[in-house]
Amino acid sequence: MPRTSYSHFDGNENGAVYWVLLVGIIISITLMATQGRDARLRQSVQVQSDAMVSPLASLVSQPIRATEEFFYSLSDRQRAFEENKALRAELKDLREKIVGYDVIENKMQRYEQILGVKTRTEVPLRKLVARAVSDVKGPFVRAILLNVGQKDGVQVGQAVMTADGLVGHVILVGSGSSRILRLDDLNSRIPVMSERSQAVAVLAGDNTDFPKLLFIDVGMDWQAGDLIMTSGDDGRLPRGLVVGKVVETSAGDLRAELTGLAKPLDWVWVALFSPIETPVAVDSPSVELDENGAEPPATPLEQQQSLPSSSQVPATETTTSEGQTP
Amino acid sequence: MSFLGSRSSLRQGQFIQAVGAGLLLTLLGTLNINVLNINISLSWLPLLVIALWPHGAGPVRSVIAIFLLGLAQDWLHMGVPGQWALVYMLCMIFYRPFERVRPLKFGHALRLWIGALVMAIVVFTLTGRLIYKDWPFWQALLQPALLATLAFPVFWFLRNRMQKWFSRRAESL
Repeated sequence: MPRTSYSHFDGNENGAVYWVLLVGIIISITLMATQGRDARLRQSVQVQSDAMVSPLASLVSQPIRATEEFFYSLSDRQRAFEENKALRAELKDLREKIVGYDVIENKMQRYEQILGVKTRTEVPLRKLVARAVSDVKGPFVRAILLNVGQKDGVQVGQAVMTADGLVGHVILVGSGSSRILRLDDLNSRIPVMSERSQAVAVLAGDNTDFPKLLFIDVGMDWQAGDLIMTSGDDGRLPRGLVVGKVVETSAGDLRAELTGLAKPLDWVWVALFSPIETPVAVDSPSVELDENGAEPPATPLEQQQSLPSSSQVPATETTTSEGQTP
Repeated sequence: MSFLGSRSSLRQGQFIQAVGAGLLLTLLGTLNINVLNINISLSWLPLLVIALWPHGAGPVRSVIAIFLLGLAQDWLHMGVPGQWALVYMLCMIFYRPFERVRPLKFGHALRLWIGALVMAIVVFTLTGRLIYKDWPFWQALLQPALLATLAFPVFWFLRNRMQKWFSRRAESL
């Protein structure tokens, strides 16, 4: 290629520049080799840079999100009539089902009181609304930056959702921002189950829009169209969060169509759920045994305290960051 | 207007403009636009800044600034630090704006851009393969590169306009 616009190479004139370039290349290679995914320095710099960029990205993304919303509402309007008909039919069915569920719920509460068991729903009830200010969908990494952080109660491992389903989970938390690993990222692995058959698998992101379902045993009943939910087997994510639907590829592989990532992300919520704690060995408390060597029966007051009352069941609560409303 | 004999205040201005444009495009590059179910990523736009880096911006500080822009790109995209910085450094060697003796013609600049882009894609893919032990999602790699190529003439035009405007302003002072 003729380079008539360039001077001939003169080592003396630009030698220093080439040395700086060489140093830059060496530093880049060293950083790549030493600062892998879990490097502490990298994570702390990442948290700092996220904290700096989050307000700026929030500002820049607002007109873009508004444009996305406009185009999405246009395409939504085109199919509104047919959807309306289908939704009316679905609503009729659901009303009947809700009556049935209310009866079952009342029964459950009565049984719980009789048995004295302390149960609670596994789907997180406390939600923190946040804005997805940056959604990186690169060739190797798929991550989201949220404008909420530690000061809002966000912790590593918590699930991030939209009304349509799970989006990912928190991997890095700063004071006012947090990084979310999307379900379709190469490093994402979550245990899931089929809502129909309760068959379990691991949903593994591979940087495509349809993550793979791995570790499916031969006898397990997975079918295209099955609703996928989190199984909670890892003790990190709660059980029962909607993930998507099973699709079968032409090669016969089972993959997931993620419902939470089907639309452009703007407002999401962080499910403020505490994962199961790692058990720690503790000294057993000294219990005075009776003459037969058995533990004495609980007093009526103790029995009453162990029973759950309706006031102890946490109510659904939605908090927004900095008083924002979705 | 002389290409080489630019004044130091003008050179300082060129450096600030180039770094400012780099920062802005790096920030824009983190945004993903989803219109009518088509995902548009602007992540390769900052490479245009290196392709159009001004000759008079001071070579050593330009290299340092571009290296830092590369690191910022890595952190904002949550990638492993050094990957984009390496691509930027190699592109700088490819373009050598500090050795340019006269402005590039559009055809020559476009050929250089395509050459640098191919090199950047190869380097990015191979380093990514070493780091992540997997090949990239090709659509997410090639679509932003294609978008940046389509944006190249627009940026070229804007940059020429700006250059002329700033030169006229400097000469009138």
